[in-house]
Amino acid sequence: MSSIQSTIEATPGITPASAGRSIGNTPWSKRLFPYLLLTPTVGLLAIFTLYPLVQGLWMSFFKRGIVVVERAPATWPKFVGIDNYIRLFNDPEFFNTLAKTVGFVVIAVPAVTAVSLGLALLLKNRFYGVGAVRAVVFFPSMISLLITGVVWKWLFGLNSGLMNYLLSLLDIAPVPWLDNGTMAQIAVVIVWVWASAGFYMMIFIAGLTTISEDLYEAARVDAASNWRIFSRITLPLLKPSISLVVILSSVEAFKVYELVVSLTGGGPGRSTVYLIQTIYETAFTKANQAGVAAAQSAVLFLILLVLTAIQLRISKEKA
Amino acid sequence: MKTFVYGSLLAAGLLAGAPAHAAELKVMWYLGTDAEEQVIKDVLAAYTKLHPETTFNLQIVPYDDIDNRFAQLAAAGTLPDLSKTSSMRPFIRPYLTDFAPVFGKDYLKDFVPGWAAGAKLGDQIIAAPLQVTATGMLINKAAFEKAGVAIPDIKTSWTWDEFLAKTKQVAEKAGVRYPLVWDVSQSRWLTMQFQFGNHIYTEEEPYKVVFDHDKATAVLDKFIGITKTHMPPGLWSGSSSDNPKQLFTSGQAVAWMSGNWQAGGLAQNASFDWQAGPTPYGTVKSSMVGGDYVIGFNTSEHADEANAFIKWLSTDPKAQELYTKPLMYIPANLKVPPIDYGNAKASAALQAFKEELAASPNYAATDQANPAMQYVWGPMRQTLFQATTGQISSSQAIDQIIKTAQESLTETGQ
Repeated sequence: MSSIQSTIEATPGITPASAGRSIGNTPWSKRLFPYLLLTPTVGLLAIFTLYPLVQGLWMSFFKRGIVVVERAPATWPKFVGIDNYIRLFNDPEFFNTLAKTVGFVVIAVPAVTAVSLGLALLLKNRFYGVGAVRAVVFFPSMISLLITGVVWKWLFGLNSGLMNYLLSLLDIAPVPWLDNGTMAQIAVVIVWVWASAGFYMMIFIAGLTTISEDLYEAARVDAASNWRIFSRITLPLLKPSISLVVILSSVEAFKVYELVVSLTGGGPGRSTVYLIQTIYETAFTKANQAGVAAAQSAVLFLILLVLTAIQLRISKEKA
Repeated sequence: MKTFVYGSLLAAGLLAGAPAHAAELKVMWYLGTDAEEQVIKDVLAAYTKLHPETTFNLQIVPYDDIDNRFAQLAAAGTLPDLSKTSSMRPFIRPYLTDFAPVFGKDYLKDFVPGWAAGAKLGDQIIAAPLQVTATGMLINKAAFEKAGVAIPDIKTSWTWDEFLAKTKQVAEKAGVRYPLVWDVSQSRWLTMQFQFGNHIYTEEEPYKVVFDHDKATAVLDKFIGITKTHMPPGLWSGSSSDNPKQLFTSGQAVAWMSGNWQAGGLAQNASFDWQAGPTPYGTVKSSMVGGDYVIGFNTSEHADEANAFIKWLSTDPKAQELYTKPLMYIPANLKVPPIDYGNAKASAALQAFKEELAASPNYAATDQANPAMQYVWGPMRQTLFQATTGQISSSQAIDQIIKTAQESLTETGQ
């Protein structure tokens, strides 16, 4: 027997049947009120998220221009079924880009998680000026990634960048930060981590403050080492924050675009061209390929959907 | 009663002041340089002074993505009355005013031929040539003098091999950091192909790809060699932060492959003696003809007024001077008398570029003016970056360019 039912039965004058009638008799206006409150949010989501999503998926079954122009038949949508997907899966360049993007995510996400967790552990305690230090660390995540890319491009410049100038003062040969494929990929990861770590650090700090100090004190009384405290208390109790950071940063890493365009332009050659840049190039620089770009977006959507499903699953398990 | 009297007086006043056929033309314009905004405002004001019944609503737009903007406006039914453009893509052509019945079929005879050819669509004239650009070499004359190396005159010019040897020599003797900088532009690269007699499309309809694979591969190999021996390392990797304009203007390069639009900036900012050309040649002396057109839209409610303004801007010598002189542009109209740009070096440079344009083959203009090229430039750029960084061979790069050029012809229905 549920606790509500037992409470109802124990209350004089109220029978379960009469309680049911009172719920059933609630006026429609009252029962609809919560849905009314939800309408603006649901409406906005439907217009700005759901509709473009469905429209994008629908578009992927057509050959068409990015804009349909009435007097230009070449731009008119022509239904091609799953041809755009077949074309995509037969395109080695697309798979190459997808592999590079996954590679970026696999390296950048653990890196940003580790760095932001490390920063959070350093800055979780109260000390004089901690607010200022946190603000400084958080600051890069407030700057547009486009600007971040431009600034780091100047720093990493091969012939006139600050980094190589400083190295030259130490008689060290210039490093091709952005002019060698592997180095450029590493540079993108470094800058992305620099730009994002502050934001994820704040999530970790919030998570750390929910862990009871009593647990740490008990561990110290038992003479547990710092590593043991971290691995047996901090890390397990921080799992919800870690999963949140991993999922959020993975989604962001899959969508990396502005930073790369302003930092490397996708170069050297095509070394740092990731998925979003490929979608943009297909849609806007090639003739009547908007359908193919939509198919590429659908693949990205599927990947992000799987990631989100995993996050929801983990959240449910925690609950 | 008082209100009625004031209202009647106001209405009478407004009606009396209104011109018979007042038209406000919506003008869409992108800027070649920051100074152009004021210049185009001056041009429009000058026209309104001559024709008070025509006023303008100027919209400054970014150059990037202007073709997609045209498509969006066409789809939304909100095209302007006229606009500046550098190409007329197929999807916008059905919306363009045919100037042939208005200006006459001989209208284009007065313009730089190659650029004028791009304004024709069968018997139609779909654009008015406005200004032309020339791609070519800018030379650090002071460095040559310091090194004691002579520069040939424009007519004699020098071959690529002679030029490369001399710029290397000058860089060493005069202590200049780099022998050569080159705009990271696929258009500038294609000019070198022109100089070896190679070009992408046939000059006339029916269009087909005529880019010779072996010839083009050899030129690309030569170009890649130059990026390694003469240019700042990595300049053509696609990710370099080096700016050829800054390097040349600050005296860190002996020569700069760019174009006439740099003359104004150099006249203002370069603290050394410089000159335009001679641009080296391979088997052919060639520049690349580029530039801008003005187009009118047949959706306009004020087509007559728009056509009248476009004709004035493209044919009236005073209007052409008003637009091109302060910007140091080369007028597309050949009937415009020589312009004194107010700066001896810049005037000499523009004259040199004009001479190189005149000596260029017809394909130096027709490739650039072909709308199919609009879908070739982007992939060409990426392919060149891959070739210069060794990710693909020169032969593979040229294969890709040829494939893209063919696909573009099909997609643009030519």
